[in-house]
Amino acid sequence: MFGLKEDWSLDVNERYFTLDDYCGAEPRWCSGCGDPGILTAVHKVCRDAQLLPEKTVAVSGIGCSSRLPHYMSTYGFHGLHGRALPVACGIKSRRPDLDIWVATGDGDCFSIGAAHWVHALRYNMDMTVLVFDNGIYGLTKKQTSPTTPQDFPTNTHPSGALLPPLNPLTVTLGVTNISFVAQIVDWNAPLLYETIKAAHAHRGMSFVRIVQRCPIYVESISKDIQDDPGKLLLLNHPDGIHVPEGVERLFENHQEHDPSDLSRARELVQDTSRIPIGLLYRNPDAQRYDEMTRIGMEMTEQEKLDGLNEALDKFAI
Amino acid sequence: MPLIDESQADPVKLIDEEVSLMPNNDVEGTVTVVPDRRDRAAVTLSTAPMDASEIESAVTRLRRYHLGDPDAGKQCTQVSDDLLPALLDPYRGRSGIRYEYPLYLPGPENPGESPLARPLASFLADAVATFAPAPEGARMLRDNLPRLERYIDRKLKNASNPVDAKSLLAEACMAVQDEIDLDDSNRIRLQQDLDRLIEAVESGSQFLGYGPYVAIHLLKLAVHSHSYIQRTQFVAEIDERIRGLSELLAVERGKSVSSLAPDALQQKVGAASRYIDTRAFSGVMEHRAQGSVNMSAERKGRIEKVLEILESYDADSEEMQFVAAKGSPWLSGDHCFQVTSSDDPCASAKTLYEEQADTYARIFSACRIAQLEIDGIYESAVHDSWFENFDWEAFSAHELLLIPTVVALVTAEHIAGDGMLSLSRLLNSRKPVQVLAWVEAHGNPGAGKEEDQLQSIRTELTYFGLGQRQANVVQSSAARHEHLLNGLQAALSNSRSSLYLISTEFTDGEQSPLDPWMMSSAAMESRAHPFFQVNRGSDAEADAVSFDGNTQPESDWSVHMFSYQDGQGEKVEIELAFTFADYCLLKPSLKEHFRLVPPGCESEDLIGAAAYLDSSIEKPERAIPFIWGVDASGLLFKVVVSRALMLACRDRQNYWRSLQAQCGIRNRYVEQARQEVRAEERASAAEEREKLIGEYESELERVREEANRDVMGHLADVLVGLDAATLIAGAGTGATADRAEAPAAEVPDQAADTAVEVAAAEVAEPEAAEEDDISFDEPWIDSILCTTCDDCMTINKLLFVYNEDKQAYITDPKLGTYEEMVKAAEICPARCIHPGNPLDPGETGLDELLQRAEPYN
Ligand code: SF4
Ligand code: SF4
Repeated sequence: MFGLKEDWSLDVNERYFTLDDYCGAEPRWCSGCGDPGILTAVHKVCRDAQLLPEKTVAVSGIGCSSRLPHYMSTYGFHGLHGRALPVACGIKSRRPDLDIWVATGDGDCFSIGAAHWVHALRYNMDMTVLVFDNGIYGLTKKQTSPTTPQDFPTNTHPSGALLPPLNPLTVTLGVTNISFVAQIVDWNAPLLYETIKAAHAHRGMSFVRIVQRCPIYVESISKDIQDDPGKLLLLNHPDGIHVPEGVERLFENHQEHDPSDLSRARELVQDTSRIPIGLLYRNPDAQRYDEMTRIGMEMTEQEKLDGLNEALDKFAI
Repeated sequence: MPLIDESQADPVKLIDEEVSLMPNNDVEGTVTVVPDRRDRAAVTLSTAPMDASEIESAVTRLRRYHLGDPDAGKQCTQVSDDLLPALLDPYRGRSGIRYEYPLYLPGPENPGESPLARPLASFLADAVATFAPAPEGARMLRDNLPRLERYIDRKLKNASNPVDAKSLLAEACMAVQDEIDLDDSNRIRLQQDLDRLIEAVESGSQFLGYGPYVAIHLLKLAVHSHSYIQRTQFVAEIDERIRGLSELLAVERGKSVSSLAPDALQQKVGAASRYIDTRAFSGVMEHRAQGSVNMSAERKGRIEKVLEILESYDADSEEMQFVAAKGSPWLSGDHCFQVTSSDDPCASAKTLYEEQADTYARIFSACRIAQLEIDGIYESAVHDSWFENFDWEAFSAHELLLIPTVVALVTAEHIAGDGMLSLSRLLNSRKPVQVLAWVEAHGNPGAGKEEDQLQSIRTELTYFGLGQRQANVVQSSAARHEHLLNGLQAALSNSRSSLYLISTEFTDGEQSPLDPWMMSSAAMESRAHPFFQVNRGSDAEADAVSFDGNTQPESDWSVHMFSYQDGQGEKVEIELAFTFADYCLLKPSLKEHFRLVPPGCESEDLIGAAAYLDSSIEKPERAIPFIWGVDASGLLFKVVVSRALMLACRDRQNYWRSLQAQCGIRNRYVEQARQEVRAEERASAAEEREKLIGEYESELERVREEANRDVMGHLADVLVGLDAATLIAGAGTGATADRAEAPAAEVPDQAADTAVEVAAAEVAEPEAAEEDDISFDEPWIDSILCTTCDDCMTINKLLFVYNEDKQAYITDPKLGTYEEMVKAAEICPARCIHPGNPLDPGETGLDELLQRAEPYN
């Protein structure tokens, strides 16, 4: 139209951020850990979206994963064990203008934080939630977590975990009002980036379970998967996660999956013989609690007082 | 507006003491993101409650206004200065819009480069690709190309002349570095790429912004690309002729007695003359004229004259000459070309061309005579009179290109008024003089200065040009450089007089709400200034007519989707035509032709302008045409258009339709021909189908008969007691004999297959060997898979480093040992390090290392 092409806008932000602008302290994860790859992907998504560091908050609970806010040069909140999500929801409800990232782990989220997890999913507030699931409590030295495989010996269960592991995705996909659920492994850097990018672009709570390597305590769990790509199932769909060129060949198994199909998503995660990788479910129209909590935020103190008085006056005798 | 004032708000604090996560950036600094319509509320329909009687009186007022009642006009609401046609609203107040301009023009020594000019954005992207072909390469530079673009664009806004590309780009690079203020290491990294970018710019190349003289600069570019090579070749030709003639004269001089004088001998012998006593040598020679025949005085005189003309040729003469009317802006403007003033530019341009042609006739005839003399075939009886009468009409196409291009710079008003006769004479003279005329798209060049521009039918200079049967006519806009350059090049190539009708929208004194490029685009889009081109063919060829470049050429108006929110907040999507009236809403001088419809005033009598122009309206006495306008706050209004302007719209529509018909759109004969062709195609397809059905049926019949025969044959065989097993194996296939022979045939087949495989393997082998060489020699990292774990860096910080995406790559294998390479491959959790082969064959423990490296190569 009018001789302009699609890329006609030459608006540029006043400031420019490089990757270094999002890098905080030097990471202190163990050698070979999967966490640095996740951190780099987060940095890259921030850089590519040119997020304002002072408008970005990384929130975490406790655990290896929860060190992430230290490694971000943005605002951060290293919270209490299991409480990453309620803190994040609190921030979002009072500061809806902030871009919120949550780093949590299998212990932090699925065990002590399980109640918050379920309700935060239902609230569907706009934030990106990354669960670093290594199947163990790493920071506290190899204790059984909700996702530790049965019979895997740990310091709390030296003769092997007693119960079958929790399937976090069947739980997640069972919660009312969820809006974005994806799964990825930490060692596929290009697809990890694309997944986190899509999660960040989604408006609502984007929940990404990342199968993460902990070579120190549970090397064999991830090694088995890393050594046998047949254990993974790549989900393809035009509305799914963009699969960069050349990445597809790293997967032996592919399947078309429409991310709007919730029942199929549930079937996929129910089958534990293969780990589905990609976007399981997306509903852009799910209600967002943060859109409700922000109502009236522009009111002045006086306006709020006047409103209260008016409401209370109804009860005056 | 931010919900909380940043300067007042306490940032959320980190409760871990290990490290402060306060952002590095100044929190109190204002974070300004350029205002953007996407960040603002959507366009909303203006609404207000109105009762039926209010609506009725408003409609009556608007109708009376539309029909020309000035009192009613006073009672209706005038349009505000910020009201834009709805389709142009998204471009309001943008800090940057990527147009085709600025353009990158190659250096003068590369005039033939295609395309002749390139938009800055694509030039920069291509230049980066020359040194960083991978999409992720030079990341920071790529991210900031729009900043470079914006800087150059702002520098060149409304600039009169092109500027040196290298120096402006260097300036832009410095400005961008200052603007984004990176830390030291990133600054150095970016600077390296910026330096490579500057290096990639050809010296002598230029950037051209969209300024008032842009059409002239494009014409200069087209002329230069057209004549540069010819002129360079011609200079070489002249040098060759001068050499040839000089040799002829030298031979002649050698025949004279004076050539035997000691001085002349010394000159002839050259450096070796110091070994000879030239005086004695001259003394022993017979002093009489040499050679059998002397050159006639007439020939000699002719050669000397021709030589003199050729030697006087000025190789650096101007490629172009401009003539403009006295008092016109081209005479006083701050531009880089010479313009001669004249009372009558077209007449003067013609005279100037004739003078040039006379001068060049002497040079061309001298050149031709020189060649005839060098070849010794000059015949006075034939050639004398030919060259005496040699003028521009005898010039070859090649020679015509060598004459400086003469251009008359005029306004459309001038050539539609006082200058019309001279223009007509010029266009009919067949002399390749160029007339560049500036058109105001909303005006009528035929109307007097004081007259109402919309009152009479518009004088169409395209039709005037068409009437001059030998001239090229190009109606284009400087806002579409490709269209204009194509038109200029096509016209220049056929050596006819040409009339270019150009809109630039650089208008004196009138403040437009959008910049000139956008205004010019709107003129084209609204059919106020449609693109049209006629290139005259030779006697044997038809004229080439082109309608290229127009938006939606088959429709009356260009139509686009437009969406807004209605009074209930619902999104409404409509198709909106961009008519001549929409374009006129951009002209402050035409504001009187518009009045706002009061918000909430809904009436069936209000009819969209395009629909009003399209159909025969049932109740014309009731109809009130309107267009849509949006103000700066995003409110959408209906805007009633005056009858006078609607008549002008109809005039534009008629003109547009006549151009369509010229180009075969809505042309009765073309339509008829199309229908005839379609009918013929249908008939021949039906015939073909019939034929195929016939063939199919007879084939079917034949197969059926054969099958019957086979079955009957087998039945007969069975009946006469042949081998039942054979019968069963071959039943119904007719392949019994083939199967019996098959095993015997297999041997040669297998042999052939094997031979083919061997040959293929022979061919494939060298390739495979080559591949081996490439894949395993050099160590490399599949960086895209790197998970940034730092592990390889702990082994050797110099050998393994991160790129801009914080993914590892190998700097130089010489900076580490093979052992380090293998260790890194082993430790790498992403398994993306491939150690290749050792560089140093003397490194200790290589056998073991090679074994360890194997799984990673
Ligand atoms: S303990 Fe495991 S999860 Fe934690 S940092 Fe070390 S490797 Fe990573
Ligand atoms: S060891 Fe591998 S994954 Fe880690 S930084 Fe080096 S190349 Fe990247």
